[in-house]
Amino acid sequence: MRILIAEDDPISRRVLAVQLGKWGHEVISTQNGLEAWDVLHTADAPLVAILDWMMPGMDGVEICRRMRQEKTDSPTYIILLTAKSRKENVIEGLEAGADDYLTKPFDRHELRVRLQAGARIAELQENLRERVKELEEAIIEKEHAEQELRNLTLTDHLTGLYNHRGFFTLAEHVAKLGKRSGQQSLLIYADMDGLKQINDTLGHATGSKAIAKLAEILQQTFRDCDIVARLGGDEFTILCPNVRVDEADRIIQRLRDNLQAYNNASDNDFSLSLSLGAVPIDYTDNLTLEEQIAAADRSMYRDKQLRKAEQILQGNNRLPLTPIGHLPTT
Amino acid sequence: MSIIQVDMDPKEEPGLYDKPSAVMPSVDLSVLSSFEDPDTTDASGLVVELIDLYQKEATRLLETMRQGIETKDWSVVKRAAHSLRGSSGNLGVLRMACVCDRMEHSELSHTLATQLLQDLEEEFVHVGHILVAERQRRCGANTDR
Repeated sequence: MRILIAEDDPISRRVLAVQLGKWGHEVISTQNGLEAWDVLHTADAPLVAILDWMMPGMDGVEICRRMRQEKTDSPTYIILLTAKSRKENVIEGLEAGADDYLTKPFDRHELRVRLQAGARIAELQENLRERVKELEEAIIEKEHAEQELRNLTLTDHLTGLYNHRGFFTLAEHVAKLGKRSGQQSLLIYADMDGLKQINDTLGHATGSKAIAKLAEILQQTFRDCDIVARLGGDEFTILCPNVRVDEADRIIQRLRDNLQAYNNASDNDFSLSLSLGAVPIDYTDNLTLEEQIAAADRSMYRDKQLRKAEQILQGNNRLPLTPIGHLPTT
Repeated sequence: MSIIQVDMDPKEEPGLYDKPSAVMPSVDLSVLSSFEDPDTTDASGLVVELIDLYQKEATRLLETMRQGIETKDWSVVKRAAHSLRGSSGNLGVLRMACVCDRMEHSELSHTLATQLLQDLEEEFVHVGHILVAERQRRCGANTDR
């Protein structure tokens, strides 16, 4: 075992080093507290230290005190070895954080057995530290595995809606059908308003509840054949197959009404609101799904700006419909 | 070792350090002998090294004490006494250790400190004779080693 000695008296230092060497320990000898402090803070610091109390620079008790303040995960086992043998000295030393106390001149048999006890504890501590490290690594690995598994699934864990992967898989399928049948679809992009505020004021657990509630309203609002997905965070997409562009306003109004109904209930912790954008998809323009989502996103953004401006001007919360007629082209 | 243990741990019985007892030897040679290492070719190597270290260290610490007493800097005196007590105890230099303990733990006046230092210096001369003899015995004719 590697043992640090800190001792300014050359004779004690030499005697101790020789003795420890005889017992097969690797000894690191230092002459004062500052040298010892440095050794204790190397990457490969010894697990056991034998410190003299009175030393120039930093005394042994001060080292104990500071080491214990550091709260490292591999605390050094410290034996104070000193000529201060009064009972109050022993108490002060142990209170400062020493694990054991030996008076000089040391009895070598006593030192040997006390070192054995120290080594046992130091090794247990080291094993425990290793074990905790292993467990922490296992937890991280498990989280990675769960994340990978989540990436492989089609639904969102929190809301039960389709996730990004699920949305794209099903939307591609709808696109194929649409191209064949020539029927239009409606793509809606919905961004939840004020999630950050809910998180900040009511906590993330309530934020999650709000997202889940919103998902529930979306599912109530849309048909079973519509693909309702949470792309991530506070962003949702809905693809409604076989919907003509002139039906869009009605669908969006239904969604707004449902939100309003929820907000009108008096026992809610939070109110829900969405910024919405929508684009018609006719599958003849050969736009990719990503491009169409981007277009719906821009439309949503304009809606958000408009709503903000309107709220400021009118001081009311009645939300205007998304102006489907002014859809951007990509 | 047991002799030192008794003599060097007198705190339960205050006053034992007041004076080295009449039966106390200057140097307990059995302590020095305990540093012999029969497993090596030079069994006395460490003993001789420790004797040399002690003489050098004690000379230095006595000088520190002398300067401290001149300037009445009792913390310097007591620190040096503490160090010399440790070194002496380690090598079984018992009477020196006793006087150092008095120096370290007494309320010092110039008179008392001067007296104790004189005791220490006289004792150190005596100890020197014993240690040099011991060293020569161990090194044979080759005193330079």
